[in-house]
This record gives sequence, structure tokens and C-alpha cells, in this order.
Amino acid sequence: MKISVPRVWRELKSHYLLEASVCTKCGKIHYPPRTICDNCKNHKLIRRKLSGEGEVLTYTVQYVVLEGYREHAPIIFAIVKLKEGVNVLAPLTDVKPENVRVGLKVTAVLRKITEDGDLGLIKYGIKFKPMKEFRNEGNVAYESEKRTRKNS
Amino acid sequence: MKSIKDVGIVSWGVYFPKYRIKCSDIGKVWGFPPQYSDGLRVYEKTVANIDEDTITMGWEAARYAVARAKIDPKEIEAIYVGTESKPYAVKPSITIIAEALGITPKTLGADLEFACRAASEAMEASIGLISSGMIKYSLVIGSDTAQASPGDVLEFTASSGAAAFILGLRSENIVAYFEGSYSYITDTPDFWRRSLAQYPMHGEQFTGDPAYFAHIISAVKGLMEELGFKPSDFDYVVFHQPNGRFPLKAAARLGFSKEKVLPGLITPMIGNTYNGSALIGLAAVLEVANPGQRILLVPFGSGAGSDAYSIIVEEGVKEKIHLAPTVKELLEDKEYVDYTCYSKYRGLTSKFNF
Ligand SMILES: [Zn+2]
Repeated sequence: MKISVPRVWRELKSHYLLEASVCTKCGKIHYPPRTICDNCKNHKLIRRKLSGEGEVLTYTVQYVVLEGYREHAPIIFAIVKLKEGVNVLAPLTDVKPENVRVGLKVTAVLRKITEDGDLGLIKYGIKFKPMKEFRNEGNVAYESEKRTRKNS
Repeated sequence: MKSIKDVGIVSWGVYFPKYRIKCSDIGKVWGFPPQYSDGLRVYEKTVANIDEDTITMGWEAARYAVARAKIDPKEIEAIYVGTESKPYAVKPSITIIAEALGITPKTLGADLEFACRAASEAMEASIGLISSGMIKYSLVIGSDTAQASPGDVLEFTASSGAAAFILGLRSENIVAYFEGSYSYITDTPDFWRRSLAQYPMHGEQFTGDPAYFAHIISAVKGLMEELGFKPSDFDYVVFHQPNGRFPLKAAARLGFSKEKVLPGLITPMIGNTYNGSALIGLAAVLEVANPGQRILLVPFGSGAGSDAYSIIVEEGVKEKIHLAPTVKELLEDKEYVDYTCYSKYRGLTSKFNF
């Protein structure tokens, strides 16, 4: 599978950082980022990093995969509804199909998406993995508020 | 070595994959005696998922370090990754990690190379940069997906994981500070991988005494002499941990009790994470140590070299522990895979692309 080098470079920020574009007029958040707001046609949008925390809205399991993805199969594609209210289409990782359900809490992680054979570029990007509820503390986002509140 | 101004650890972050393989399963496939891995004192090792590598694991450990630091990532003015399993032979891993953390472009950055000790060299360099006032914070990452030829004894231990530390001046909100360090390197042929080779070779007779023990013991003795310390001055001892046995042996030779080593001895549960090895051990100790206690940290890298650090735990440590997953929590979050799955995840078997 041939990876487009310019495209990987162009999409770095949105794929690595989950960077969206936010309309300065109506506030609509666009992911992937857009240059013109599709709600109010405003041209002034600013970039903002999304939280990466959300839940699975719906998903599908892909067994027939594109060339270059066989080792990654089955691939679970999910539409994740982020805390900000934006829906993001991305693969899930570190979870088996039988353990995925609608409403599953997930968090964004940087993972390898695919490689262009042995010689070409390696493409990295955001995937979502189940949010682990650790015993001592909230979730993997590790918002410090709760802890700080407890300590104060 | 001592810096002009005291430099400390602002925060730490650890990540290793949730997948594990039992070392006894590896032994069964290759016909080793049933108790072979027990002899190494390594029972399970982490297995990186098919979509994980040094970059993704390093990023995740770094992200947790940033969460614990409670600083603006933009204030990090140097970022280093020490690794011997770079996804690209030429193209820095650190630029991808830095970009994905949102700390580009105004920062120093490099991939460092020295077998399992590369991240420690980054730590030494960072102490100098911070102490001199050139930079405010440095982010040091040790990350590896260690390679071992299938069937080699190395396969019992070579695993995947990462640790990250943010360093800054002692006057910042730190969790511990460096009292001093001592480095010791020589040309020793104990372990190598030629540039196009897929798996490393090891000079069997050199692994133990001339490499691991000689360098670690010399670095520790050098440090204790320079700082005027004796073994009883240290509360915890964290050595590089290629297996579960070597650190205990080194401790015994230097006169440290087993009890000082065990809290930071993580390899028996996750394998040898190479550049993460000693640093994950340090993180585990920070999560249990009390302010005022003294930690001896001694990473080692083949080829060979070792650095001994004396570290004093500060008050700030307790409040930062639960701002990110602890080593203990990561140890408990696991899922076993069999040898077949492991060999696909580690690229030992892959589909031929026409
Ligand atoms: Zn708008």
C-alpha cells in the first residue's frame, strides 16, 4: 500500500493531536478540521486540540481489510462521541470485538496506523482504547481536579 | 558529577502494553527445560500490540509525565528518547513524539543511542542543560520494543515498555532531586546488533561479570566514594534489570539487602524493557518512597556503560502519584496472549506482500 507522503504531513496535527477547527462565529467544532464552517459559512476558524475522551456511539468490525492491513485485522471502526460533542471516526485498539459495546468509554492514544511496506513511511495517528477505571482514581485521562479536591 | 544548581525530577510517567506472554509458554515452544525462565526470575513479559512501537509507547509514557507535572508542555525546552529499537534507522523518533505531545517546534530534541543506557545519558545531559540555565524543563524518555531472535534465550526476557521523566530545577515543584552521579564506560563486547541485522548477538561469556557487574559495581563504588556514602545510606536500590536475578546479585556484592532492591524490581513481571528497565523501577520506587529517603539508581547499557545516581525524595511526590497510572496499576491491567499471537504482534510472522 502506497502512503501519500504529502498527505501524511498535511494531516499531522489532526491525526496526532486530534486537532479540530472551531468556528469563531457559531462555535461549531469540525473534525477533521475544515477551513469554512459548514453551519454558518464563516471563514474564521481556529484550531483547538480535542480532549480525546468520549464513548462509542456505534461501531463496525471489518474482517475484509485493505492491502497492508491484514496484521491489524479484524479492525474495529467506531464513531466516538467526544466530551465536546464532536463525533470522530477512528479505529479502536487494545480491545476484542466481543468486548466492544455502544457506550463504551474510550480515550485517544497515538498508534501506528499502517506502514508503506518495509521501505516507505510509517503512518501514525489517533486510535481509541477502552478507558481503564483504575482502582485508586478516576480514569486514564487523570484529570487532577478530583484528586486535588480530595487533598484540599 | 555534581551540577552547579540542584536539578530534580518534576514528574514521571510509565507505560507498558497490557498484553503479556508467560515465559513458560515461550520455553515450551522452543523445548527449554520447564523451569528455565524461573531460573532467570522472569515469569511474564509484556507484548506490544501490532500497532505499538517505541514511538507510541514513548508518547504514552511522556503524556503521563506531562499530566503529573502540571506544567504547560510548551515550557519543555528539550526532549530526548533513548532507544535501541527505533522504527526508522534514519528519521528521528523524537520529532514524532514531540509533535504528538504538542511541544514542537521550539525545543531541543534527539534520539540517543547506547543500548539500554541511552535514556540515562539523556538524563545526565538534561541535568547539565537545566543546571546551567539554558533550558527550563527537559523531557527524558526511555522506550523500547526489544528484539530477540525466536528461540534465543534472550526471547524469555526481551519485552516492551517505556518510562518518561520531566526534569527541572530543584526550586520547581519537584518530587525528588539529584545529589550527584557517576558514569563509567568501557569498550566491552557483550551485546551488539549490526546495522542490517534483525536480531542482536550476545557475547555469552561477557554478559555477566565483565559487562553488567563490572560497570554497575564500578559506577556505584565511584559514586559512593565521591559523595562519601556507604550502602546503609541508601533506602532503595534500582539497577538495570535484564532479568530478575542480576540486580539481586549486584546488590549482594555491593552490600545492599534484598529488601532495598525488591520495590523497584519490575522485570520479573514484565520482562526487560531495555531503556525503560531501570527507569520503570525508579518510577515504582517513587510511588512508594517517603520524602527524605535516598534512592540509588543505576542504569546500564551493553557495550558498555553505567551511571549511578543518588536521588533524594521530596515532599511533592505523594500528591502526584495518582495523576496518572501507577506502575502497580499497569501491572494489574493485563491480558495474556499465546505464542502465535505474540509472534504476529512482534512481527516474527507477517503476511508476504506481493
Ligand atoms: Zn459557524
